Amino acid sequence: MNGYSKRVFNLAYQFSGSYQEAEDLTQDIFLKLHGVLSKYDPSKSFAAWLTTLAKNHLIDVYRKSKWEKGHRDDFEDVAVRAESRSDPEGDVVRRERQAMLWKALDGLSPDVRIAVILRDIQGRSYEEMAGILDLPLGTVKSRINRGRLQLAVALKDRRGECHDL
Amino acid sequence: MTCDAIRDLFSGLLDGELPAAERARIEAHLTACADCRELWTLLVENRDALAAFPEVEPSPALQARLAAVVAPRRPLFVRLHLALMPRLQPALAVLSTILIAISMYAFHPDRTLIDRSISRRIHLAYSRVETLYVRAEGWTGRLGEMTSNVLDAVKPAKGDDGGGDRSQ
Repeated sequence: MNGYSKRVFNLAYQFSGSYQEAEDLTQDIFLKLHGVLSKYDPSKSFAAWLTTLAKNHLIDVYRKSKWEKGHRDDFEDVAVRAESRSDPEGDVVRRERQAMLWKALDGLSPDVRIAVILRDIQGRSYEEMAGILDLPLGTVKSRINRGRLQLAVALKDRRGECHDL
Repeated sequence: MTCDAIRDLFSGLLDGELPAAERARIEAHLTACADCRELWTLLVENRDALAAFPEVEPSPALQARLAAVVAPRRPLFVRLHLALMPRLQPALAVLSTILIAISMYAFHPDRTLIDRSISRRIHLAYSRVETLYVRAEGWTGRLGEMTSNVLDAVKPAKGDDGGGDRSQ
């Protein structure tokens, strides 16, 4: 249970950017899970099925604008809450980069954002993602490419702004 | 190749999925195009930064709430999971067949005819068993007689062993 809740919570946090919102979303997802558990096909991966359920809920809620877009927590809050996986103070450059990416995630459409989170942050394989997103492999790959380019352009613009100041 | 066409291939290059010829074409383009080169460098740095994103632990309060949501349902899920285990499927098939047979009997419109047919078959089987029993008794009697005959036949021979026949 703990493993699943952590996975869903991190997906919700990375997607929404708000710790409080992620807690509420995670609880909603588990309530939803409780209601549809009878539809689960045991021959398939439970983790993938749960991730699909979570992804659908996150995008539904996003589209209904139940949370205020553009108000992500400061990345420092994320780093403070994180466990040992976060960098110690040594890699300041990476930490700055992560903070910029954290903000830039908000500029991605929900479909592209969830794809980038699953692939580049959570390290899922393209095949696994095709199952979770219920999309052909080619569509998943082009969506990831679009998301990565958008993030790169956002960071490039940000650099430009910093240099202009 | 145009910059857009090259950028469409960036993910493939980043994931190491492109053939050598395509890689060489992109690298040649990157050498000549500063914009694409900058974007590529950002992509590589972003990939490393995203992969090292910190993972956050849900609060104990949330974990307690989630446990409360899931706990009542879990036994049913576990039972369902067990019931669908492949090794139980032959038993489930037998059980289903028995239940189908029972329901066919219970809801049959001519159930009294079936009852009569069953009782007739039971009587028939009972009478056959009785016949067999009587025959078996007869065989037991005959076997007893044969046994005593054999014993009678053997006794004089024993007497002869102890008598004068040995001297002949």
